[in-house]
This record gives sequence, structure tokens and C-alpha cells, in this order.
Amino acid sequence: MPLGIPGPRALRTQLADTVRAIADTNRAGQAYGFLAITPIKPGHAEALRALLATIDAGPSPFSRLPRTHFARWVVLTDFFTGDAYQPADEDHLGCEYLIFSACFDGDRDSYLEDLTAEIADELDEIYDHCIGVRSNDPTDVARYLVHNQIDCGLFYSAYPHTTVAEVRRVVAQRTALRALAVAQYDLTPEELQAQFVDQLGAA
Amino acid sequence: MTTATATTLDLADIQGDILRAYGNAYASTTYVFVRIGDATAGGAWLAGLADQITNAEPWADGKPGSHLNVALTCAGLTALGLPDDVIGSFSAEFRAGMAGRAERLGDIGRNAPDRWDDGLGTGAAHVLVTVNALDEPHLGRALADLRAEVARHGHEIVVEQAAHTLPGSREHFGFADGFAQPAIEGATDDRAAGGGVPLRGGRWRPFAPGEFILGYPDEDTTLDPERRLPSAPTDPLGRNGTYMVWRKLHQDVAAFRDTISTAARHFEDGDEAKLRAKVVGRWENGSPLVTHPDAPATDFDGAAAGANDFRYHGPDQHGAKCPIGAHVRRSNPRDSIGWEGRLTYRHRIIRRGMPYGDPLPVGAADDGEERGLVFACFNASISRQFEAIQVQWLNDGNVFGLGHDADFLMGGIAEGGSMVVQGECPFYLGPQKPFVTVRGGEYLFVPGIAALRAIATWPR
Amino acid sequence: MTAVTTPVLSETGTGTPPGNVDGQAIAITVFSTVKRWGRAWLPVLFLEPKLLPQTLGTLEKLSFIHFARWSMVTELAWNGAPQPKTRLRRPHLYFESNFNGGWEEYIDAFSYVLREGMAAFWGSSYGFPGAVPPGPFKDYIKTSDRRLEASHFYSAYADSTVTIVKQALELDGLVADLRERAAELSPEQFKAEFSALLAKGQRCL
Ligand code: HEM
Repeated sequence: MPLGIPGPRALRTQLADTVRAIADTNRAGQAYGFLAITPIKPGHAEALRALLATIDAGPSPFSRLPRTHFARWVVLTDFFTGDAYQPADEDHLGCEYLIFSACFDGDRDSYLEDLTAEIADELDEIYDHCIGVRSNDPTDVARYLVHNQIDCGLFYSAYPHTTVAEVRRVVAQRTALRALAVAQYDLTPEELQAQFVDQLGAA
Repeated sequence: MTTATATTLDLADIQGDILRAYGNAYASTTYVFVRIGDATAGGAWLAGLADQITNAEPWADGKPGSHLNVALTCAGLTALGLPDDVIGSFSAEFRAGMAGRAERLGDIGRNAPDRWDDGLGTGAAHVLVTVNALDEPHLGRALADLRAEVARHGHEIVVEQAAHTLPGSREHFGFADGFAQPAIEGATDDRAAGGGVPLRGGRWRPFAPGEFILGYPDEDTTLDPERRLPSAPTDPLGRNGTYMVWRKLHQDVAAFRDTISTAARHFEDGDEAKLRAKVVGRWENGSPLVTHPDAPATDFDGAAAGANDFRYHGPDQHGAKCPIGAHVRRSNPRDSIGWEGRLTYRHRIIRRGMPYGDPLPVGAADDGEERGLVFACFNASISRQFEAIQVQWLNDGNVFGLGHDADFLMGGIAEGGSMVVQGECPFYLGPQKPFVTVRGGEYLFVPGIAALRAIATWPR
Repeated sequence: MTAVTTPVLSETGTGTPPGNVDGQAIAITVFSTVKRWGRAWLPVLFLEPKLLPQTLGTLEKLSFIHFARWSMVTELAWNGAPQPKTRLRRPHLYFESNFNGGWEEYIDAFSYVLREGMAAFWGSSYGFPGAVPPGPFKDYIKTSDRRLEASHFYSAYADSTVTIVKQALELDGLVADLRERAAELSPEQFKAEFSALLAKGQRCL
């Protein structure tokens, strides 16, 4: 699908995004892809899974971080063992690890600041199961994640210049426009204009 | 892993009506779902049925007056005492059953299994005997025999669904139905143009038979230097059989007509027939919109070779002739989403549906009667073929760039949907009403005839 | 989830384990062990994905991946005892994708139109069956997908597919244009402009 030709202002931001992205493989446009893999304390993996299951059952803590497009926690038991295709001297992790990955708007440090401020309780509980978080000091969790960060080789985004807020706005606008398109036949021109201004009048 | 050698179809072992339709010769079809009483008695009854089944060989001495086909649900295989490891060799979706896949299929709300007809989706339906007959007297005799045999063996009929062709092979909304079918190597090669796999340069070839019959090379085998066969149930069950989807779909004819005639007031000169055609992608007589965008062909014969020889991407990429969301363009998109059809060709089905109930006279208000389509189809993989069509192509529009629009004709899962009729001046058709409602259904296994005998005489 | 160490495969709409699903969005997390030659090849590929103009173009056109990342893991940071000091003999390729539903479609896409790209990224991984016969290749993708199940997966706009987002962005320009002028137009003029907008934007609605 050919996208619209960006205007001069959009072009400038896209250029700036691109320059930033070239400098840092963790970026695609204005988006950042963060990955940290942290060791789980011996015997804690099950409790951690149970905790994450409770979190998963409720509203996601990431909904409190409006810059987050996508995020996940995955418990990693080992690289694959017993797979016929693996080399005989296959690597083992030695302990369980927790994968944390997120795709978000803007730069890493301010995001981690937001993260540790907004979902401090959950992070405390989660990373309490990991080796090496020295205190419950939220800035320490941020430092800890950065220490265990793994850089992207390649980060792909289908819409690298679009923030979460923008995605939500344009998607809602599309839905409203479609509804008005279907409703138009029963409206007078005056009503149509009024409804457009009312429902699609604000950017 | 089994590898393919010869690919000649064993027509004497494949049940009839799968590869080639009995077609309009048989005006009456009744679907009889039977609950098996005792496993041994079940075997005895099936052994008798196996001798009466019509196979896929051409008829030597004229059309029989009636004939039978047999299929089994997973509950049926269990009731007949097949061991767990044999049952475990059947596909996961077959074992789950149609009701077990309800959420995935969008069978929720008005379509949910707890609202289905008694006897469907509960595990009570074990064996489906399909009785095809030339006329009512033949049908009556065949059904009487069947009922007597079922009773004599201590089984029970849980559902008996009658279906009849309507004049002109129409379905209840008024469209010619049932003629666009996949072309299969060794059976319907002559239908390749328009029915087979689209190739570069406008050419076609018939489908590998394993797409529709178990135990034969499928389209992936064709691409495999080792010629590995697709997975199938344990032998001998995995030979010459197939999976069948049976779904009773109620049609609200008055609501459909009313929606079209109300909306057509704002559509190109109030042209109702054209707006109806836009919803289906074919005119009422079956002529395709993509080849006949302005008016139907007067003498269209959907069964003629080459009648369906068309593509979408080249002649009509943006849907100005046949809307991107039209029923036939969704259910068999050919090259509609690009890549010369490579993203769609693994999702084809053989349809053998039949309308049930009496037609609603034109202009009549809703009479509250039950009428609709018994949708029946055959495929080697229910999840890859039927379910992919139902879930990804009919219930949702994303792959076509149509957001979450459901097929307008099917009425959608939620209410109030709409459809874009593309064109120079696009028309936004809505609101969608529950035109079609699921009344029940089953996933079935249609064994080869030898396999049916094996099931009948399985050591218990 | 209770005391399970390997993910239990249960049926969802996509064939992927349920933890990997949020609305229309699906998470894939895959580790594969990289053969020694991949250590040299993958960085080149990452730096110059233009080596595969077709793959990236195809991905864009297939329009089902929101975000994806590939990372070559050659070591794990040390956080003190009791973390074992693990020396990795080979690199491990981490891949994650955030994409939208329609599993059968993706399997088709990977097998029939993205084969070269898949081979470029995973050809240096142990177990990669080679792109040619689709059967084993599909099995490889399915098994890889099912190995890791997310304990928590979040999407900020779980109902929006990539295509919807891109369509909505394209419409935005058209809507903004009419919005700016809406107040100055007479109702009849507005209606004509509105129709023009719907005609121009019909492929995105
Ligand atoms: C009451 C419900 C339905 C009605 C009234 C209906 C009606 C029709 C009509 C009029 C045609 C065109 C004639 C023809 O090609 O034979 C057609 C074609 C088709 N329908 Fe349906 N249909 C219904 C349900 C379904 C369902 C549930 C599916 C699949 C899940 C389906 C799949 C197809 C396919 C694959 C074609 C052939 C398209 C082609 O090859 O061009 N239909 N249907």
C-alpha cells in the first residue's frame, strides 16, 4: 500500500528519526527496541511464573506507560536441549533467565525512568526473583536492566515514525470516518457537515 | 514418513460425491445423524452399509435411484471402540469437533453451540448417512430401509435433515450456487482453467489430489524432492478418505432483501440486482462480476469448462468490478492479495451444499420458517482449508485490507457491520444484519470404503 | 500458569500458545544456535539488510509485522553469585516478532514468498531445514514458535493490525485536509468534498 507523500514538516522529523536510527541499532525511526535477559535466582522460576501469571490475568501494567507499543516477559529455561539438530557440545545457560523486551517511543533512559516510576511495585516483585538487583531502589532496577541489555542487530518497524498516541488517534479516526461513510445516506448535507466537525473535527 | 509413488486415484475405494458432484440429477438429499448404541452392533450395521455405498467410479448402467454415503464424527469413532492411539492419529481439529472449535470459528452469540439444534455439537451424533435420491419415492424407500436398519441394530437417529435443490440450482437468497469447484488431478483435470492452481502467464494446473483425498501427494509433496506425503490417520484409515465439514446455516431471506432494497435507493440508479451481485461477486445466474461488470451474461453456464477462468489482480485489483469483500472473492481470492495466488492456493474446499426449507416468495414478509443452506465441504485439512476460509477470509477482512469487516452475506459475528463497494464513486453498504445463523454442525471423517470395512470389523 | 517448565501447547485461534496472544497481536520469541560461519555473516546482514531488498520489500508488502528484532547473543552479563559464569561456545540468534493474527497465512507467506529471506536469517542456525521442501520447513517454524511462551505479552492497540495502522495513517492526511477547510465550505460543497475524500480513501477504509 503506497503511503501518502509526507509534507515538509513530516519529512524533517522522519529525517531526524533516520539519523538517530543510523547511530543506534536499537532504534527504528523514533522507536526503540529494548531487550534485557536477566538471571533468575535458583529455585525461583516457578514463583516468578506464578507472579507473572497473576500480572497477566489483570490489566497490563504497561497500559500505564503510554509510550509502550509492545512488551513481553518470557521465562527461558535453557537453550534447546535434546534437539536432534543441536551440536553435541551444545551451550547451556546454567540457570533460568528472564527475558524482558519492549518496543516504545523515544529514548531508552527516559523510558526506563518512566517504567521504574510507574510500575515500581510489579518490577520490585518481579526482579526480586532475579540475581543481582541489590536494593528495592527503582533506579537500581533501571541500572540493572541496562547492565543486562542485549543490543539489537536489526530492528524493524512497519511504521517507525509513529508514536503510540498517533496510532491510537488515527485508528479511532478511521473507525469514525467509516461509520460516517455508512451513515451519510440518511443525513442532509448540513447534518453531514455537522457530524464530521463533531466527530472528526479535532486532530 | 510415507513417500508418494503412483498418483492414480483409487476410484473404487473413494466414496462417491466427493471428487465429482452427483449434481442436480439428485433433487433430494437427507442427512441422517445416528447415535451408535453398542460398538459391536455399530460395526455390524456399518459393515452392511459399506456394501451399499456408491464409489467414485463412473456409473456403468445409468443413475441409481438413490445412494448412500457414510461419514463419522470423532465421538463416533470412540463409540465404535477404536483405540486411543488410532483416534490420536486424526487431526486435532477433527478430534475437538466443530463445537469444540466454536470460539475460533466465530460461533459465539447467536451462532453459539448452546443454541444449536438438538443432537448437533453434543457428542450424540456419531455417524452421518447422506441419502441422495432422484425423487421423493426413491428417497422415501431409502429412508425407510435406513430407519429400519438403525432401529434393528439398537441405534438411534438424533437428527434427520431434509434438503432439496431449488429451481435453477439457486440458494435461498436467489443466487445460482455450487458450481465453482477446485479442479483435481486425475478426476477433474478438464476444469483446471479457473478451478486449479493459478500459474504465471494466465495458465492453470489441477490440484494435487492430496489436497482433498488422504493418502495422496498434496501441493507440498509436489515441491518436495523426497515426495513426502502429508500426514494422515493410521493405515488403512488414512487411505482414500477425507474430512468433511457439515454446517446447517439458517438464512434470513427477508432481512437480506430488505437491507438490499433499502440501501439500493442510494446506489447507482437504485439498481438492486447489481447491488445484490456486488455482495456475492456474481450475478444471480452466476456470471462473475469481474468478467461481466455491467450486466449478467444471458446464457451463463457455471458448469461449462472455462466458465470460471478469471483472476482478480490484473483485471480488477482495486475492486471496481467485483468488490474486494464480495463473497466469492473472499472465499476463493485467487490472486486477489497478490503473489499470483501463492498465499491462497492451499485453502480450497470442495463444496457439496444443498438448500433446506421452502423458498420465501418474492415480496413476502418474513414468515418465521426455517430455511437455509446445509453447507457441506470436503478437504484434507479442516484447519488449513475450511477453517482458514471461515476465520481469516469470511469472519475478518484484514488480509484483504478490509479491516475487521466480515463477509457481508454471512451477516457477521457482531451486528452492524458494513461493506465497501469499491468504484469511482464507492458505496458504503450497511448496516449488516444477521442474515446467516449457524444452527449446528459437525466435523466428520469420510473413510474410504475399505477403511469403513476396517472400522466395522475392528477387533473389539 | 502452574509448575510447568516447558510450555503446554493448547489450541488458540492461531496455533500459538495462549500466552503469546493479546487481541489480534501475537508474540514470537525464538532462540536458535548459530553455526560458526553465522558469526561473520549475520553482522553483515544486519548492517546491510539492503543485501535483501526483496525480503524487506516483501515484509513491508505482506504487512503483518508491527515490530521485529534480531540480536546475536555472544555473551551474558555477569551479575555476581549465584549466577553461573556461562561461556557461550557459539552465538545464539534471538528473534522476536510482534505481528497480527492469521497463522495459516504466515505459514504460507514464510514458505512460499519469504523463503530466501528466511534462509538468509536462519540458514546459519542449527536445525534450519533449508527452504526448499515446505513440509519440514513449516514444521521448523511451528516447533520454533511453540517452544517459548510469553508469561506476559502486551500490545497497546491489540485490535489494530499493521494494515489498519498503515491505512489509518494514510487517511490522516486526507482527513486533515478536509478538516482545515470544513468550516468554510457550504453544506453542499462539503458533501461533494466528503464524497471525494471517501473515493480517494476507499482502499484505506
Ligand atoms: C448461507 C450461507 C452461504 C451462501 C448463501 C453462499 C452462497 C454462495 C454463492 C451464491 C456462491 C457463488 C456460486 C458458486 O461459486 O458456486 C458461493 C461460492 C462459494 N462459497 Fe459460499 N455461501 C454460503 C456460505 C459459505 C461458507 C460458510 C463458505 C466457507 C467457509 C463458503 C465458501 C464458498 C466458496 C469457496 C465459493 C466458491 C468461490 C469461487 O470458487 O469462486 N460459502 N457461495
